[in-house]
Amino acid sequence: MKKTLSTVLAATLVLGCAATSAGCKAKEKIVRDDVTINVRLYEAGFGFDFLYELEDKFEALYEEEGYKVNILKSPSFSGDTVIRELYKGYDDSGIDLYVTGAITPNRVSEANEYDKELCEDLRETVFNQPAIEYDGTESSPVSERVHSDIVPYLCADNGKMYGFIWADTTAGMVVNTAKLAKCGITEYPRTTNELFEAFDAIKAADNGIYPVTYDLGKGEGRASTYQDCAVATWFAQYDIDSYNEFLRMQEKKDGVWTEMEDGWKVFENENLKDVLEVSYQFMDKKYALPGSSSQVLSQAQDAIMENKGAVFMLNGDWFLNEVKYNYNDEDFEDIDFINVPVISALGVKLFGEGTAYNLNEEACDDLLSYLCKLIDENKSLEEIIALVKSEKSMDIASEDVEAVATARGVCFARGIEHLAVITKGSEKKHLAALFLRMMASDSYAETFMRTANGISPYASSITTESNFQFVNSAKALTLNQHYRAVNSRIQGTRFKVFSSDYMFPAIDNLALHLYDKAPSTSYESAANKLYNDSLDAVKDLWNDYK
Amino acid sequence: MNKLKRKISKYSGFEKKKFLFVYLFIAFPVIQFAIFWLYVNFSSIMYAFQDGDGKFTWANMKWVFEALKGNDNKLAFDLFDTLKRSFILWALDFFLLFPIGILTTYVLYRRIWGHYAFRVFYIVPSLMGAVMWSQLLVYLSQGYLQGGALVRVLKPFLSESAINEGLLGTKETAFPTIVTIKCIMGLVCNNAVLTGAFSRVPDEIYESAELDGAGFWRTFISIAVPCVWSTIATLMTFALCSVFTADYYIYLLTGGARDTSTIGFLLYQMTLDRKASPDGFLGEPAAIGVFLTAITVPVVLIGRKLIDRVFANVEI
Repeated sequence: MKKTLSTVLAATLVLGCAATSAGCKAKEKIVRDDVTINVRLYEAGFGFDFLYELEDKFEALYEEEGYKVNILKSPSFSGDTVIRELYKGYDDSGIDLYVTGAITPNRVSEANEYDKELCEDLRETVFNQPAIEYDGTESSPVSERVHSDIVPYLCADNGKMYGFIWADTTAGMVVNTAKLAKCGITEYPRTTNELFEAFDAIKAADNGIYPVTYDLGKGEGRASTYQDCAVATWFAQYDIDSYNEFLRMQEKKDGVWTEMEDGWKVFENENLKDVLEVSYQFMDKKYALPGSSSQVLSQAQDAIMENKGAVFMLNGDWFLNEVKYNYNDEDFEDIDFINVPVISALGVKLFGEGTAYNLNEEACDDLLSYLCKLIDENKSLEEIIALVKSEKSMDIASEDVEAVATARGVCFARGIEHLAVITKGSEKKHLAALFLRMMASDSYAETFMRTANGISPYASSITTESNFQFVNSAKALTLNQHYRAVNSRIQGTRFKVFSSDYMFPAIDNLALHLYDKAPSTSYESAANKLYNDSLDAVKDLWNDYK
Repeated sequence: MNKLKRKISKYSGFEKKKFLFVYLFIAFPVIQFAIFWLYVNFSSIMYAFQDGDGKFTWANMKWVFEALKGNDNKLAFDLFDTLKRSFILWALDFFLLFPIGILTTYVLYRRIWGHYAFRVFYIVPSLMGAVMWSQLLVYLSQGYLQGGALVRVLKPFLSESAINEGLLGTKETAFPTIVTIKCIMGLVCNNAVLTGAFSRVPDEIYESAELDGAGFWRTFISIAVPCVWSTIATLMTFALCSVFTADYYIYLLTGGARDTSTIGFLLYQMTLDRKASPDGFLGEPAAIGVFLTAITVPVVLIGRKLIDRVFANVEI
């Protein structure tokens, strides 16, 4: 009896230990030799397959040299964790390369909380070097392959280039085309007036489908900021330089951001009133799927996918990756991606009464929409001018077409939040640089699109047609010749004045504010109130700062 | 130093080891206290009187008074309203939930019929993680189309906006929902401590009271409560101190939106916002902290005195 009891107890103990050990995470295996790069990858909605394929190609190309890649997966990896690990130093972590989505160049420069430079400058080792294709051929330099609008976001204020963008993700609107058609709409809206006409038509159809849905609830972290992307895009559509000045409360002098005498004046911009008016109308509850204020992201995404729910949602080209495991491939046949429509007030400003064209509001919007259509088809300015002349019998000035092209090209780029960095003092930084140069190739662009439904910021052309129209539409946006990248990252003097990263004073979540305060009648008066209140507050804040 | 050496040399080897052990044993909490209490609080107080360059200033304190008057452009939440909500939640906790908690714990302790099952229902919520609870509550209180169970049950009593947007999604029901959640969660929070205190009271005392003809309420008020008063007094003192502490459920349920922010949440949010900026200036949140401490300290000291006077120390 005693023996049996001992055997049972021993077996239980062994099994218990084995089960517990199986549940424990194995210790990370850092390879500390001269030929292996240790890469820590943050998942960021793209999975890991793309990096494994790149690893295979890299190791195959450098087989003779014996270069290897050791990938360490980190599904949840916050910015602070990366910074702390970088601060501990290369000797401690052994990580040569971080492919992350959680840090900014300034945070790894000596201007951070540790007063210590944490990463290597990539300008000479990567940026000014040619990209390396999978077969070893060298193509154009990395600097020529990435859009110039992206470059400032890769550099810290000290001028050093710490970041390497590894995914070109864009925020925009996800559309369910089947539901749109059910409501009798056959064309995507290209201007905000067309968007609101579509919203009204969807409502009028009265078939249980709502125009738009949001993810403003708590439950999966802080309420979403995707709606803020639209506000930022509308403002940038007017003038990207003014928009960047607005974000920084600085002006550019000889290519350098400089503090202004009256920084508050960046808020004194009449265009902002139009932007706020459109934003209030967009966030009007009458258009939203009831409950949008308390639902979380996955619920809002499901509302787009399901039969009823809503037609439009502000999200990004990562939408498909985030929901694909809950749906079949054929469910995505009706899902498409479009850029945020161009603000109609821009059309009135360019072509309305008092201009050389002197068009009424409706004609302005028609012309604006027509121009947007041509820009979406990737036509050059000259081609557009010629087409307007032949099809609309109208002479249009080149600068006006350019203004519309710039506006239509503005995309809210979230790719700049996906940076790779090389650890300061990495003993294999030259190998990590080779790896990044391969990541800037067209071969990698094809891999990234096929395996992750992602878009490489270095893709020189559409190398692969995705099976998903959604992915192809997203890629077409970034490959358009008029593409301009903007982001709403608060920088410069603004931080010191506001003591926060709020876009408007004392509003921590703009989307929630707009949703809760959107009037059902006069959007203009609500916009004017927010504009005037903000202007007064910013003047006070600026005076306090000074 | 020589004096100390001479003193130590008087002890035997064993005594020296004991001496070292005791001092090292005490050193750990002392060091911890010095770092995590003394240093943290001292530096927080210093921040309140410093500008961005570390120079002395009254500006942060002045800002607090201006913010209380509503003259502020930095805070996303009205400071005075936020204070008011904190106080409402605290008063609810202190004057209603705490006494109910004592009574229900006593009822459970005296083993009324079915108390085992009741005890499980009572304790289970406190065993579940706060984040899990909050997630559950967020989903339960969502709008009708999202399948919010609470909204479906309470539909006849709710406005259209609450039905559509959910209990936490509209201003009229968001804070009352938080208050209700606080009531449910608050009932169980001191149960374990009070059960321990009640269990130390000898049964003979209750039996003697019963023989004297004391009923349930008389036994509870005149026997049970005085016997565990020292524990209750300690818990009440902690409760007095907690008026302005962090309210995690505000962060998890609403993020302070729709007039639900409390002072604990606001301080957390401010610190987070400031940490996102390159200079990370914390003068203003620190000034709010100093201001609130100035209010809390006399309240706690006077409160403690009053609590001690309610019942004389009972030896059991």
